[in-house]
Amino acid sequence: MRILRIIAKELKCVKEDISFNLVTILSPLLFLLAFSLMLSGGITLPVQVYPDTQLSDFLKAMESCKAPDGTPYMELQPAAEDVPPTNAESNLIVIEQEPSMKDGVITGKIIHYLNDVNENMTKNFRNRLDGALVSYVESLRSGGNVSIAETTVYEQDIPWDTGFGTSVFVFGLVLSGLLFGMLSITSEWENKTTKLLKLSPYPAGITVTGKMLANVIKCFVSGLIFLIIFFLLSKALPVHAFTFIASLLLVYSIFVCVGMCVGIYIKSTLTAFLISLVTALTLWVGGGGFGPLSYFGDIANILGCINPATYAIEVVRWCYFNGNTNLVAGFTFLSLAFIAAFSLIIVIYTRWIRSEEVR
Amino acid sequence: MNMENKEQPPVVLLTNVNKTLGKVKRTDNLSIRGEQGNIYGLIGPNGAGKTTLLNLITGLYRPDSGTIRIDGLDPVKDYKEARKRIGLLPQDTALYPELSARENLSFHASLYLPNLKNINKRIDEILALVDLTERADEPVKNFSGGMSRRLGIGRALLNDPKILLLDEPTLGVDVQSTHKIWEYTRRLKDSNKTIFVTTNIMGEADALCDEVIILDHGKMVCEGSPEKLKSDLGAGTIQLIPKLKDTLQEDLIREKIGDFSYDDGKAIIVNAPRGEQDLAEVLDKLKNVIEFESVSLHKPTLDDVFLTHTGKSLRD
Repeated sequence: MRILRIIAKELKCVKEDISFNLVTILSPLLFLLAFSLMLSGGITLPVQVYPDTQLSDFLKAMESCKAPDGTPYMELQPAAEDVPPTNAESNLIVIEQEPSMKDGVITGKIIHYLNDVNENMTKNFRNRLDGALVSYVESLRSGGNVSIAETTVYEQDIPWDTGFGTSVFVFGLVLSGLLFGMLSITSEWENKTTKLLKLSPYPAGITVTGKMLANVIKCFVSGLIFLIIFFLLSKALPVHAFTFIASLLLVYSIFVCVGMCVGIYIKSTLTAFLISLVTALTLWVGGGGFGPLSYFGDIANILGCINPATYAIEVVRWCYFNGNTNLVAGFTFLSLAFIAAFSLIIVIYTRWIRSEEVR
Repeated sequence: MNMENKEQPPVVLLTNVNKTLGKVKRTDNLSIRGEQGNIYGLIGPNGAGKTTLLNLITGLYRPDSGTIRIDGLDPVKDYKEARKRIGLLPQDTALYPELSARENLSFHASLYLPNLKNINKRIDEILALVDLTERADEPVKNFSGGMSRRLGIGRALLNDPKILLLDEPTLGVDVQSTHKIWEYTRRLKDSNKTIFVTTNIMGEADALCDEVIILDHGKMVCEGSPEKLKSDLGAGTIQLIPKLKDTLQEDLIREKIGDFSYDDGKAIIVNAPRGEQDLAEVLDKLKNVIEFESVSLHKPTLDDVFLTHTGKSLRD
């Protein structure tokens, strides 16, 4: 009864910070839409070539190198002449000596002028050019074969934007948990109602639990709106509904508790918003939201092991795509993290209401 | 003052309480008794320690030294029991603007009431008491300052506390609401509550309080009923403004009425320890000596008491 009244109050007060609350939906949606629109059609790298593709068998073969969805790896454009395109918009591939086989030996010379200063893009160009060359050499080779058998984490090959969507959803989980948690305390500071909370003669645990449950409800509403839009874009639905809901409950609760702890100290709604956004982004990237942790160094992997977002991403992806995920480890960590976060907010809140309120 | 309760132990008792916040001593060896069924006015310049005193009574502040007892309980150690006896209207009112009056009270009930069984009935009673029944379901953000203060008082009464602490209850409130708030406060005194009201409005302290405690720099500079404090300054002065000041015969006047002084070089000021009786005598003695433009008897007000004890210098 007491908790229900606290939940009702918290839910009705959502109107106080309506614009900040909308951020919990809009931020992950903007991520999703921006990256999906940019990347859903595949990435084509434009490159100038010399001589014209019609004059080189290798360039003709290179034109036919395509991704599984049919997107050419490189979009070849004939260059006017074989000089390095200083300050040119695209890169230049010059075939100095056409690759060819003579007496079982393959020779040739290709010069690649790279204008891109981004190390990742340099690698990308190199990989694509090497791939094209390997394919071409393969066609000239007389015999033999090396086969590659792929074993994937997930049962099906997941479209990039769908995989990214589930990852961004976890960013939304972290953001909404932190932000709603913080706002539920900073709004008390801004309404100057902290004195009333402090003077309550009844156990702090009731107030904390009521606030936490109300915040989890707000998070679910925010998450549901995201999921509906995500479904409309990708037609993807979680295949393990119960596990999915259980994982959301845990993740939301963890970050709501953490947010409430922070809210006690920061007092300002605007600061709460900024801290939530930056923290959510950091935890999400650090948890492998933007790319698997195996891409990064040892420190990133150690930090990833103690980051709840890491386990949240794995569990949510499993709920959507199945795969070889260690669910027991994921749920164990998330459950322990929840117990720790809930204990922390009870301790901090109790200490806070027993502390002197100095203006 | 409720004299019959003098035998009972005080509901609020502060003994030699000291509290320093930052580098400023907010209460300096303060001792106060609050008896049941009395209204106490805490007045003092800004920063005198009025709100600090309320925070000490609630247990929001811990005293550096000295003791505080609320109905015999230590508000810090026995905070759970002590807080059940206290209702507080903070200076900032502290309401949730998006919630209605009823919802604000309902949430407050969840924090303060031991049993929520008949809570809706209790909320209706409180809303009726502070004349907000008709606006009960409207968001508080639409309320005027007076309505908010009334709701704040209602909220403080929700748990039927023994002690009511009102921090500037009529701050920024119009005259009608001010009188309504005074009316509620008097009614609460009749139900044997002990009420502490901080105020900067001397008229409020005069009209409302059984006892006034004037604080300055955290110290109690005087206490007593408003009547006693005023009478301690003397019964009053007579102000006589003559029609023709240039032709005044000072020696003759002095011969008739004794010593007098001039105020602003225009009015004759005569001490009147017996009030109206002295006025009648002075007018009779001077009736053939001078003609007056105006005559007035000035009785000391609580403003005079306040300025006498705290001085006229500005405080920040």
